[in-house]
Amino acid sequence: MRKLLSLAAGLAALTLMLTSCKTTNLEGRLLASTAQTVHAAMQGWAVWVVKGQATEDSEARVRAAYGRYQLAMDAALSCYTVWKQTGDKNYWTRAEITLRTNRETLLNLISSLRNQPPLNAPAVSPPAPPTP
Amino acid sequence: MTAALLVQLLIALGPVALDLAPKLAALWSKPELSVEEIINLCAPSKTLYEDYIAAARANNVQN
Repeated sequence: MRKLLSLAAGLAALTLMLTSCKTTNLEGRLLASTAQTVHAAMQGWAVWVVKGQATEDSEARVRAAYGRYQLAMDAALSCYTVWKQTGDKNYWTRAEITLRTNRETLLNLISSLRNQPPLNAPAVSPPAPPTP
Repeated sequence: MTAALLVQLLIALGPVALDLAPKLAALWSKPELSVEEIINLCAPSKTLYEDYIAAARANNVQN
């Protein structure tokens, strides 16, 4: 219960901050938020894998999606640094779109795979016929 | 990132995600963030897939 309350409080605080209009370096904060969110998602996914809940196929899909996300993050960070050093925002704009797409793909994939029934769940059998 | 996706993740990931909300709150409540700080905060994106699995496995053995 305490965990749920702290989670609710954290989400409420986050919502307030995200909707606040006086935020400096919005793009940088979004970049860092992406890295932290994906990091947490991958930690959660790894726990799922170690518990034997993931199939080889789902592991391969997450590994590939994570690889694409890493490439997109590398590019976005480079473009962000160039933008901040030179003022040229063109590359950043494109890199940010690619990063966003890859992030959503990875997070949605992990979320959907985690919502599937676990591999070692007992098989659902039809109800026994009523005894006379 | 939509709030709905974030909430969905928090529910799906369970205990691991409990650390995420305060981290994000700290990130957004800081008045100023330099480029170097942003780069440092993005460092986890360099983590290899295998390292996540190894860390989870090590944690699993300890518990």
